Amino acid sequence: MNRVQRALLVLAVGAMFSACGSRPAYWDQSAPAPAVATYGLQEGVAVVDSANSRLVFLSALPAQQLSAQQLPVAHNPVTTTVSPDGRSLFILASGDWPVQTAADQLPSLTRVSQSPSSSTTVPAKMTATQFWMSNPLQNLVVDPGEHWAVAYAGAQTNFVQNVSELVLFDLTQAPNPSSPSARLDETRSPNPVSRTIQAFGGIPQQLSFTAALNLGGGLTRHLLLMETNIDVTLVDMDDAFPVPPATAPPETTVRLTNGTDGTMVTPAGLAVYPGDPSGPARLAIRASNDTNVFTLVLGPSTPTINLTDVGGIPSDMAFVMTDAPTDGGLRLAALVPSNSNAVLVEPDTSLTTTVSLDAAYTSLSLVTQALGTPAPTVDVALLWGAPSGATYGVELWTLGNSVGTPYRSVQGVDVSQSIQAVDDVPGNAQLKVLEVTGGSEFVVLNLVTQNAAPLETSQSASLMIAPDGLRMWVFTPQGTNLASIDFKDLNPVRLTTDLPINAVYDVSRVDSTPADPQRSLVAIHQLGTLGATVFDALNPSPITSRRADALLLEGP
Amino acid sequence: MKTRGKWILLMGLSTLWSSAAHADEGESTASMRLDQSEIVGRLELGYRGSFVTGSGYNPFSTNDYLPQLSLALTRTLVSEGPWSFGAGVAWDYGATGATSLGDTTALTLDRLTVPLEGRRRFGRWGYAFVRGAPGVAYESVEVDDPSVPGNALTKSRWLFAADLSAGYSLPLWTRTRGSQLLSHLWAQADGGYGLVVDQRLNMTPSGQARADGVDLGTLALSGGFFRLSVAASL
Repeated sequence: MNRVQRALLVLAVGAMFSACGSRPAYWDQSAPAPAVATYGLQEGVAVVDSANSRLVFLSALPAQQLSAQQLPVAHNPVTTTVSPDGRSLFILASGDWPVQTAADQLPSLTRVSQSPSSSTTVPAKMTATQFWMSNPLQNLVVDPGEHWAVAYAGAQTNFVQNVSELVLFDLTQAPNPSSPSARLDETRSPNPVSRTIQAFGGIPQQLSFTAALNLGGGLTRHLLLMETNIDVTLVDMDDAFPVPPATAPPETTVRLTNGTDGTMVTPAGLAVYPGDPSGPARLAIRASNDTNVFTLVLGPSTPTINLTDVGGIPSDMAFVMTDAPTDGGLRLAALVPSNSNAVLVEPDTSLTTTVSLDAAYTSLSLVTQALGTPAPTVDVALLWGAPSGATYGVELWTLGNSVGTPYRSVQGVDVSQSIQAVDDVPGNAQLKVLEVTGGSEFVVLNLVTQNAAPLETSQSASLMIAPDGLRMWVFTPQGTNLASIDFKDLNPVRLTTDLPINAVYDVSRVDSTPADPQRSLVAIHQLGTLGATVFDALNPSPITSRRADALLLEGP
Repeated sequence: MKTRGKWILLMGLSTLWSSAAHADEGESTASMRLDQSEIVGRLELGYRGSFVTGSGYNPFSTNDYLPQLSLALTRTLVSEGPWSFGAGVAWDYGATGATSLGDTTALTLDRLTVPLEGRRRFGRWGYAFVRGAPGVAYESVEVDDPSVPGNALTKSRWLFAADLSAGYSLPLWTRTRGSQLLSHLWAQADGGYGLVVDQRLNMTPSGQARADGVDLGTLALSGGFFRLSVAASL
């Protein structure tokens, strides 16, 4: 080979290697489907791909087709929750740490929702609103009315964490500042607002928002209730976002001790009575290590507190209306499974009435509206959660008879299995779906007729009730069996898929209208780059089902 | 379709081979063959490297490079002084694959073209050439994904293709006596731009009527290339 030949060869080989760029690292990742999280919204399925900081929203189209649209989301999501109305997704993200480049993000809360659209052919566009925070927090609670949200630390996970810090978001207002680098608009309140709660050493365990509470004197307030392991704090949300230099009113902290030796007690649950024209709002607190229940009368000033010993540690409680003549019939009903009874507490006087139960029920649900009782001012409660072996898995407790003749107030329902959960059927209050302990049986209970229809499965199955309340879906996690059960006739329609099912979502189709509702069932297969099988939810059939494959394969 | 294309190529090659053999009969001495070597038929076998920078190529390769095998048979049609013009048929075959998002992917490319080549001889130092090669390309892509039960996502399509390149051919070996079929061996290099019409990668599961595939964007295999070949004059 002469010099010219060698030169040509060197040039060619050099060109070959110098021009070989590498592809984006995105493609070198492992299969994304096993790591994604899916969430069912009213109008589709949200797939959060944390590894790639993106959300893929799947909308149902006619003929069982799916449309996917991508949206970038905040880095490193830690908590994701669907809004109470099922139309938005909230993503709490810790961002990047340490923040070193312009591409690194601060912690944030992102609200993802669909833009209004009247199209019946094209899915509405997904949009995101991002609220920036200074410190990463791990827990998020959204107000049922979707007016506010709160982020808090809970168990300590960061290098330094103020466990008493709350970050409050006003979801009805735009973020302020609008971006991490934008200036604060001083004509309105910062949003979010960071607030440190007066600390007595407690660590926040659970937070919840109340509905509007009547505090008397025409004063209505929404409260944020924070349970720590030693106390309960009440935060007024209506004045939580003052425009500087105004400040928010201080919160109220109720330190909990037992009535005898002052030992700290740990809150385990709350019950709220919103108040009415004849009486103020009330709050009840039960404890996990004390037999007292604490009832608070909420007013414009500091709450007054009563302690009532119910004879055992209560497992559940609720404010109920009875036909008792005092306190307008209002009582606090507490279940005490260790004594197999329920205790009715008169909030003002702490007088109690004990009602013996047939079993050690641990949970109660008010079903008054479902029954349409002739005396709607008297509540009826569904008792459940008894251990196996009880004569009745559920009982109906009529509060109208409880105070005078408690022995006649409880009536067993023909369900002998132990019930681990009671599910509501949207738009159909008289139906309850009882999940039998073990997961291999469900009972559809009609509260009016007290007809209990058991539905058995050959394997441990999961249940999903359609948001329109017309049917439920039962499937075997990691299996291929699926069934639709219409609440009208409870006739199961058996279906199957080619791939194992991880989750199912009954979503509204893009061409759905109030006059002609259309829905699809999306069965998610978390394999490879994610697949789905789509059924016509209103008329499910394997013949008309359609598969959508490799949903996350598209490039970033 | 893929098999039919290869048959067309083989038929073309055999026809040109026959023509080249007849052209060879008129030559009497080795010295004449050296001067007129490009007048006869030539068989080229080479390695072609194409540089593909489009994002649609990323799922199928860990780099921006597509290696190919190149085979061509040409015949000189016109010769005037140091200048000549030839034509023929060529076949380039390339295959690549990768693991993308855990999926096994594959891409194959068959390029069938008609090289039209202008040459300028430089005596015993060989000759330079410019080559245009219109033709067709058969692109076939496949993605094996566990979310596609029992089947891969595939797509195949015939597309217009064309090459434009320039290069140089150096004689490596010359038969100095006798009247044999093989008269010269050449080392050849050329580089240029290869065009393949873009293809939308809306891939579907093969054999699945009620299944939707995925749109991986646009696959654009056009780009610069080089080719290193050995050639034999016939």
